[in-house]
Amino acid sequence: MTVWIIFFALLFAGLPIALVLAVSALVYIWLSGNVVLFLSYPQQLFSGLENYGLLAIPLFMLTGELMNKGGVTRRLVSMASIFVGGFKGGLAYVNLVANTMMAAIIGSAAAQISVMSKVMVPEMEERGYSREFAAATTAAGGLLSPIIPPSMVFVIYGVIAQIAIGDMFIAGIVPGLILAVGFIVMITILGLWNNYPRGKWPSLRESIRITVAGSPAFLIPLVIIGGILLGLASPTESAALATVSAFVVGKYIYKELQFRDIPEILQRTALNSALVIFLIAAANVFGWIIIYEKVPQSIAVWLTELTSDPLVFLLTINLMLIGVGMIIDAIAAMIIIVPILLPIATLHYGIDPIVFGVIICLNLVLGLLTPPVGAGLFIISAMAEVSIGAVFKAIYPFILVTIVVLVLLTLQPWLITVLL
Amino acid sequence: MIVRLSNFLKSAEKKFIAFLALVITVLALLNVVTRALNNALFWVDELLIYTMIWMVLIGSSVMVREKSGIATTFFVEFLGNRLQKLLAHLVDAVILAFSVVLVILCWNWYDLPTLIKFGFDTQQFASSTFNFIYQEPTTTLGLSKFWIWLVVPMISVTLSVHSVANILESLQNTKVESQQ
Repeated sequence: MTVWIIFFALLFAGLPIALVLAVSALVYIWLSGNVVLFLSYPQQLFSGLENYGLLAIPLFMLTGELMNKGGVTRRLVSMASIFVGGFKGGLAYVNLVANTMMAAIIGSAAAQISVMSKVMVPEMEERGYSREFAAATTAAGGLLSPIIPPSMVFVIYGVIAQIAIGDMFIAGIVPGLILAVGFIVMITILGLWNNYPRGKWPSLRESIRITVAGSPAFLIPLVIIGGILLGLASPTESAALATVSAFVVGKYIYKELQFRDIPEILQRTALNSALVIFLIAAANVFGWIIIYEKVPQSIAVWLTELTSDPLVFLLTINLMLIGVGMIIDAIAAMIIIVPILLPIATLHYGIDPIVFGVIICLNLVLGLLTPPVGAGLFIISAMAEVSIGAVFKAIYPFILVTIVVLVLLTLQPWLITVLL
Repeated sequence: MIVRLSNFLKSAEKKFIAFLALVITVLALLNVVTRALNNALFWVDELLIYTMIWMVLIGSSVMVREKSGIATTFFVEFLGNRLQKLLAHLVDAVILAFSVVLVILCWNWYDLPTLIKFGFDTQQFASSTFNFIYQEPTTTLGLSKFWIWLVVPMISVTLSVHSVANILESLQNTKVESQQ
């Protein structure tokens, strides 16, 4: 009990979450008198990371950084305008389609929102959309990033749940596309309501030029998804290939990437991946508390008294996690919660761990767009220079869509496993 | 003095982890290429994982110095200015305490005095202490694993330096503010 008081006190005092986990574990060992664990504590910090799958995280982050510097984003946006640019509200669709393509390259919503907002928000505003709506569409598009592979949260879930990361990636494709379609439907409805400006179709000659210029960029997501889907490459291997292709495209085809940019890119990659992966090291020592205190067992007793229906269980969990996702960062929340809830879901309710993974990942990333601590909300409001309140007002229709998709996936879990 | 040492360490750490990120990329590619040629190098997987772990752990030390770790600030923001400052000091103190405890744990883990007492005989060390740190090999690298694990004591020291520097800096800031 004491350890939990300390855990929440440190958490809410603003200690970095990784250290909250690491310190709580130390306190627990001390209180429980199980001092033999002190000897293996430093080793445990290390061994929690001995996992080949985690390598995908720095590699995909590097790919994202390289593509960003290499002028790929802009060309993908032009590509998207060939398909959907001419409709009423055309640029809003372009934003979403480009976000869908970017989601197949970048694995993190926060990264994607900051990249896309630089390109899309000024352009949409120039064509007569309100800045709030432009920001909201971009942030919503960012939600596709953690669902459509490659996805950082899926890598982490796979590592914690000991599931093949490739399977998680494949499972994310259909839900990601459903989410994208849902957002597009929402834009159509909003467009009819608010009378959005009609876009312009590019001329045939223009379209050909854009396609030729954009196809090297377009190849990268194809390589990533195709490699994983056809089982040609493991997620880590496809990440390595993606890094090379992003480098070659940016440096030698678009010629926007410079060698002198590389050290800074590498440094950012290293720091950003350390930020995320260190959480897993800390979670490994924190796992002692969960195991020795039989936390899943006691929560399971309480939950199974509440309901024996897997559906009710999942809906309850959804409700709970939306709350958690509002307060704690998605990845950190997942690292704390999955070891507790996954055994309950699989053992007591017979839920497929992959289905469970996709649902809680989508659920927790939704927290990126909800106040008070939605990182995505902060990024977009800073980048687009709109107040958080104003963005949130424009964004809640998209949050609604996400919740509907979440319920749909909970009720029809075959949508998640259909490609496996 | 400590602040300067910490800043020096931080910039060295940042350069080093950037280099490790490069090593990871090159090794991962080497892995893909050699596997495609049906001539996989057996030691690359393990080396890749260790390189990543070094990058992550050293990166976490930088994270503490730059205060860039993911934290829950939701409740702190409700508090008054003075309480916020107090909590920030508390957080700094907890990080320092953690770092020092980690130094001690690593010291006990590597247990150099006992090792020296046995004249660096790792066999005798293990059988008398039941601490098998010097017995564990790496799977493919042909190196004892305690060399690889050295990154943990290393960051326990840099974390201590960084957290002292953080405390000194924030005390300095509070002093300057109260004078104004």
